[in-house]
Amino acid sequence: MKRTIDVLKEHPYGEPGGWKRQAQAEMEDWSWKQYSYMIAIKARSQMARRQMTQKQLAEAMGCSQQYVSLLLRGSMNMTLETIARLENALQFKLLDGLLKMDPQYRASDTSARYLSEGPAPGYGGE
Amino acid sequence: MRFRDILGDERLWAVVYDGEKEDILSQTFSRWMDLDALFDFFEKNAADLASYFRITDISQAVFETVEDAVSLKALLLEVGPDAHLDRFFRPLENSRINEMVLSREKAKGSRRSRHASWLRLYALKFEPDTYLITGGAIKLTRTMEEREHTRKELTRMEQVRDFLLEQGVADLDGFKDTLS
Repeated sequence: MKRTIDVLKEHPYGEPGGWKRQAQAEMEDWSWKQYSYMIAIKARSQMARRQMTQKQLAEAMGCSQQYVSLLLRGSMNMTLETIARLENALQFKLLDGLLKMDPQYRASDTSARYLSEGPAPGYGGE
Repeated sequence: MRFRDILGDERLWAVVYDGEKEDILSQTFSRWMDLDALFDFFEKNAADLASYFRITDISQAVFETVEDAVSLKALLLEVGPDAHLDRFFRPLENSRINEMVLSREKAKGSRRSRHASWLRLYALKFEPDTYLITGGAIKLTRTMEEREHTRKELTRMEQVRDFLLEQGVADLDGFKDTLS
């Protein structure tokens, strides 16, 4: 008979703690990516409102559909010029009222509730 | 099936399913940050979003998912040696009273401002404060059985249990208890 931990160690994947290092690097990128995500979400919302396809947006911006697809995934570090072209094509001010996500603050707030002593947060449903 | 030591302290693990190049925790976070996948998901599940959460704006749902996913990832990165994972995970069955071996557990996202989080990580607890993540989902309904994508998570937990059983993990009586 074995302990579960021994079975896990017998079938290892990657370096121990590798996920943490990778996630830390991703979180560093999040300082700028949060804005890219917000712009992409607002752009998609405006496209839906105007019933605009990615192809039509690409034509209005004078770029390829592949480029638009990358923009709309929220993973591109957009220049101010790109944002202005996107705004013009959508006829919508994407930067107005742009909310800022603040994962570090939220994480600290959360960890204080979840990972330290004190009453556990309420849990309902599965 | 292989297993990744997530934080390097042997307390939090994630399954790497056969044929997959990434562990399930990385895959889950990638899915929660993938705007194409999120818009597609919420469009398909718009009725659940409206009836259970009173949200009709899909962009809002996508924004909140990304925000909550980042917050959850940041929380996992803050887990230090003194942190209690037992306070992060909770029994999947709200009515469970007794501790069981390889028990099914869940962790929720942290969103509280307008409504409870719909993000879930699912895991098996195999020792105090020690967990194996088997999957994750956006849960919009009251029970997991109601939708295919959450039913799949229940199946995954059973698959991982079966694998561990085949490998000869200890305390079979306790394991059988979890299945009854």
